[in-house]
Amino acid sequence: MSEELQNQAPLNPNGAEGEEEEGFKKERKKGRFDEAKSGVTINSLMDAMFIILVFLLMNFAVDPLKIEQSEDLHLPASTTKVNPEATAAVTVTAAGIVLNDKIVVPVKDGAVDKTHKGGDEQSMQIQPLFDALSEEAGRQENVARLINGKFEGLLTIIAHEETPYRLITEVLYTAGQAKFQKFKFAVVQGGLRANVK
Amino acid sequence: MGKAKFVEAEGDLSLVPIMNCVMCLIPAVLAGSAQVAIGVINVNAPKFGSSAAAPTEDNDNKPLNFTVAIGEDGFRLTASGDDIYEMLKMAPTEDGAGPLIPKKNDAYDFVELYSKLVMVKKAHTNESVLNLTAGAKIPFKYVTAVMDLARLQLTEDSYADLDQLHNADIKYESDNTTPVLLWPDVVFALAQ
Repeated sequence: MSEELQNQAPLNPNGAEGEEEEGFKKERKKGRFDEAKSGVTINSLMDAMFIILVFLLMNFAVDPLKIEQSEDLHLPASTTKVNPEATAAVTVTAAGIVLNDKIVVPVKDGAVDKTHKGGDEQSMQIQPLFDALSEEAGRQENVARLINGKFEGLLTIIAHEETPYRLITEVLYTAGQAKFQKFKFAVVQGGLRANVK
Repeated sequence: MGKAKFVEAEGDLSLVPIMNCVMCLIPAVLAGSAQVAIGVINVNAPKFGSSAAAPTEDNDNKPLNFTVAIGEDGFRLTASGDDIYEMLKMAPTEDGAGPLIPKKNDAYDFVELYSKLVMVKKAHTNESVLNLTAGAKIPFKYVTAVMDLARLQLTEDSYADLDQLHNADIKYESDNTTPVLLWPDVVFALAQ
């Protein structure tokens, strides 16, 4: 070890050490000056943004059902482990029935006005919803025909937890009349069994 | 003028506050999107009309037609294919509308309902169809709660209270992977 140090000694001849230190001081000063001028680098910010972008894209690609809960649409909790599929979806909120992001018929006090049921309050069929679902069923049948598939008549019902049972059955009946025969109710996973008040 | 130009050249946009905001947004976005996991409950097409099945000549093959009705006063159980009172070891009610599981402290008695569902299942192990109906104004959340309760069998046949029911484990077949089904095929019914 001492031999190595002795061998290295001739590389720093007398006086050279002091000059070198001054040089470093100048460079350091220069470095400090440059840093102050350049400000904050945006590399870390770009990294963070990129991670968020990838995460959001993945989220959109994986979830077949995008539901934003609100005061008018709060899903009931459930213990189910079944994941949603990509199907047509009818949303029943406290304010209206929505299909493909369009309000098909308004809801007031948990019921559809009788004018939307052919003037008969006891009627189970909600006419504007029937028309919209028939159109959707026709579209799905055409797609199934084009790809040599089969129209499955699968419909997901996304309903507000306080929706009266009568309105739910009216929606199911109307969907049944429009050729939809299999239903799935959207719920929030992770709920406790029989935990309703 | 010259001095002012010098200050402009030296000044730089500070990205620190923006980066702070982004760093705060990341956990917010992650938490917001991960917390609400959406699932589905499968149901069959509804049937409308009376929940009682038409009488058939062959009593052995007669479907049970087991129905749970959610009313304002509690759960009412009926079955046209067998004597529901005998199955549940209960005395017949005066109105003959079927056994009622009344509300307790203004809340539905899910604990009692579960034990009755198990009793009926034990009497008819081959049956899996449960007709589910409710009063017109009963909120949807009670319907999903009954469907949750009726879908799978739990380790015990009955529970002392709601806390035990909340935390009860699912019963599995001998392979330890397949859950034992109770009344998984729910059909909505609406008496008109």
